[in-house]
Amino acid sequence: MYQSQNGTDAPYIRIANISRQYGQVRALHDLSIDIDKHEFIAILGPSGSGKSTLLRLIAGLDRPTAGRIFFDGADVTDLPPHKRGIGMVFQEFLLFPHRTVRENLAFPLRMTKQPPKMILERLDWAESILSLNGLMDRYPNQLSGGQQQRVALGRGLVTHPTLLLLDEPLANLDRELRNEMEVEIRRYQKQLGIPFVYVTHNQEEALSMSDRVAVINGGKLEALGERQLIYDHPPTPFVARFVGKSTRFDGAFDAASKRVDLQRYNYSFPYEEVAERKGNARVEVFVKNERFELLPSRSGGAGIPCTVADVVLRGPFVEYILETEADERIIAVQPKREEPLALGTKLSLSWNPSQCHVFPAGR
Amino acid sequence: MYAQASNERLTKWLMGAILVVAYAFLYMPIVHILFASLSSRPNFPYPPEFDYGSYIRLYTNTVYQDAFLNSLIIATCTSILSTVLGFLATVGVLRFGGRNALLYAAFFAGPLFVSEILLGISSMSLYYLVFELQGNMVTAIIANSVHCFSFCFLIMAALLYRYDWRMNEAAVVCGASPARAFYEVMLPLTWSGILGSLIVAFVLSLNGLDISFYLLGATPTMPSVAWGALRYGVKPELYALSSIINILVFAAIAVLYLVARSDRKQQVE
Repeated sequence: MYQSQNGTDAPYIRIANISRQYGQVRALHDLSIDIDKHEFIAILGPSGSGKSTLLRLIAGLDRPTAGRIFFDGADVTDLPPHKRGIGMVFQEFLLFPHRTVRENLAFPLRMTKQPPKMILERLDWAESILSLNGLMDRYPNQLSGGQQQRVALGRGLVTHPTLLLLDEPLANLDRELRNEMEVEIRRYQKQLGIPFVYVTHNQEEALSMSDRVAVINGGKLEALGERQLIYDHPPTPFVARFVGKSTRFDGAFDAASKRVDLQRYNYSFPYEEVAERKGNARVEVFVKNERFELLPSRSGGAGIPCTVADVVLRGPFVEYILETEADERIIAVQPKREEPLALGTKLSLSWNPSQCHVFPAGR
Repeated sequence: MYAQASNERLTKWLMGAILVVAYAFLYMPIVHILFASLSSRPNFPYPPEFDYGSYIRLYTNTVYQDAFLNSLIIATCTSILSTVLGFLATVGVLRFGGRNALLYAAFFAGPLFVSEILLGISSMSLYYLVFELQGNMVTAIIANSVHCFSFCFLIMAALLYRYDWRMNEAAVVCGASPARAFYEVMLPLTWSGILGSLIVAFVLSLNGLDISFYLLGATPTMPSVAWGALRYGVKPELYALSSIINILVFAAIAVLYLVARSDRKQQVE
């Protein structure tokens, strides 16, 4: 369910059982990913999870301790980075400060010994696709962050590489620009039809741009699948916590009544899927913040009683910061209505059992 | 308010005066030598009577010419050798030094504090003992490089400290071989430090008396000829010689200044 399903053809990029060890530290452990030719794949993980190491291994800037990497069927594991025919965009952009935008863009073309006619063609192409008109003769430090980012992207793309590696390219941009660039980057990928491997610790970025998401934790592949699938059906507690914004509850699963009881609240809900352990098993319950149902407390029915402590307006959404009797704070996201609930309103919090995720606890 | 303004002006004047005195203190001996070399009465050249005689005598004196050539060879080779070694040491310390980088750096800078005479004498006896090498130009260049290396290391380390090594990675993933990445990206971004190191090593070894003196034996260099000549009294040729060397050194410093300025301009833009 979470593996690549590209049928009989050999995958365009194959990362097979890659490990990387630094002394005693295991940065990556036995990790395999296949990437299709037209795919945008996001490598998502917290800092120190090994996602950047993976990118450096694909680029050839670092060598794996075990495992092989294939581009289009050819083993490139022992190939130095400048012979791999890749493009790469860095978080700090790393444009060459002593060269103009034009020279920066021409650099990979010159290094790969393209004929002059081709260089001019590609420069024109990059100038128009990245809307760099009028900036070609400037130096990188005369550009804004967003402009530098576009030049960095252009430098990665002008050679039409086998694949483009992106290492948190939007981390240094402000939020508005980031949203804009997310759309742009995805558009370039669809236009060029080459795989993009996008490393990020930002789950929103991963979800907004990619076709598939690979979640990495502690050097291991935690999950790999279509973004919608990863979001709606997280296969592990880590993914449930890391992808999307969720609230976690401790509970117990009663196999006889097929119900989950929350530990700190007088609330239970039916749950069909049998937890792995017999009898009363402790479980973790994750509920996505936008999937809470809020009802007025006097309406009766089961729910966690809580009070509206604060209201955060987020454009089309409202975040309610709710305080429970157990002194926990829960954030519930709702579409913005005419009039948001007032502070101090007493509510009853519940959710549709099929919309939450229950995992055996204590792992 | 008026008092304050006049106070400010006074401070300005005072600081200007201090600056003039400081410069005078630093440059009077040098200017005096230049003056004396151009004068017909070198022992007391004031008021000046200009005369180029000492320069002509210097020009026809073959001992000085040989010495000049030798010094030039030593200075050129030393500056190149110590800069190359210093560059490699800098890269080693900054890229691969890790936690102990400061310790490695301290040991690379260490020879800076060894006196030149000591270095000269000890190099001479060491080369003779171990390699049975008599003093010659090669040993002089090597011994001078030991001394200059630390200066070169410090100059380049100060500049390369700010260099982002990932620039090389950015170049390599663009398809540049490591050698190409160095030539196309790293060298243009760090050349002011490398040039500075070359110039400083050149000036140091051109002017250095002690090291060359012990390692060269009878081969004359500029400083050793000048020193030898002193024993027979100060001659006007010596003034001319000093002035030429000083002008050479100042030209080198001027180049360094211009480089530093253009470098800063590039960063500001």
